[in-house]
Amino acid sequence: MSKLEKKLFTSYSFKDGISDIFWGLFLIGLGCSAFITNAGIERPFSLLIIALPVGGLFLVFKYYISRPRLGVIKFSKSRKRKRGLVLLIAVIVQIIVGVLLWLVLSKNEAMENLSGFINPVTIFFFIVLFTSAIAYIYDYNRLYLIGLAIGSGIPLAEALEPTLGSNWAGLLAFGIYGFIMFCFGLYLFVKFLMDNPLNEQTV
Amino acid sequence: MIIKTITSLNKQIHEPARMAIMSILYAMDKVEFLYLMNEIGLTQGNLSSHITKLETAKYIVVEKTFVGKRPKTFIAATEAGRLSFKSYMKDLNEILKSVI
Repeated sequence: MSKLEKKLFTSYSFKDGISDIFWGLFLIGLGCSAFITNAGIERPFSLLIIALPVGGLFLVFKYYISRPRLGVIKFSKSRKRKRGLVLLIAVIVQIIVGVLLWLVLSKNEAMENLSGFINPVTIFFFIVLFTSAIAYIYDYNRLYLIGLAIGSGIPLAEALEPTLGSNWAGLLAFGIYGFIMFCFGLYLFVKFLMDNPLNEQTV
Repeated sequence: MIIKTITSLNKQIHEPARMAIMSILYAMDKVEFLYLMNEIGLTQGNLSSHITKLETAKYIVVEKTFVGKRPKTFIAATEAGRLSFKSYMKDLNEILKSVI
């Protein structure tokens, strides 16, 4: 029965392709963030400029397009517990990243000792570990690949920067993965709209 | 012995559409009518008649609400429904084990 629940959950949550479109746009946005940063907006804020509209778009699509076609489900208690655990991990990671960002922005002395540990390789492992944990708990298999794409994008961008410059290195490192993900999501989304037309339901 | 188990299978549940409904409701807390219709691939009338049968047997409860001006129908398995489905699955498993 847990297998059935998992299957129903993944089909309900991911078959519309909206999450793939979201991750695709997010990765493309990450690739473009260097352009925004070089235009004078600091790094965490340039990421927010990308993440907020993309996140908003995701919620609007889920609420107004996917939900009326699929119907509403209240998942089992075990699924709610998993969702809570994912939320908890996300909050803890947000706090860690927030503290690190604050230390960087305030040019704190503690950062001097930590700076040796923060490099593209440790960031890669951190991102892959974080996304894999969420993918495992949440039964979202594509998140393993998304984590690899985000994680490997950082060292790739660093490696490409001397030859392409920071703007194009970032766009190439993240944009290609993002574009593939976006196209895949778009294909699933169109298929979903064709398979699930709006249906006014009454009993 | 196994023949007795076969003949005593719960007939309310032992019908493909109703078995599908109960499987989904067993795995979930509560689902919308529209979701069941899409997932099982039944017409509105057909699904309604199966739901009525399960509701009469007190295996499920139907809850009608309004979200804004739109009517929404939610369906959930009762405790009796969950127990009956569990027992039905156990019987089915026993049959399969002895036959295959």
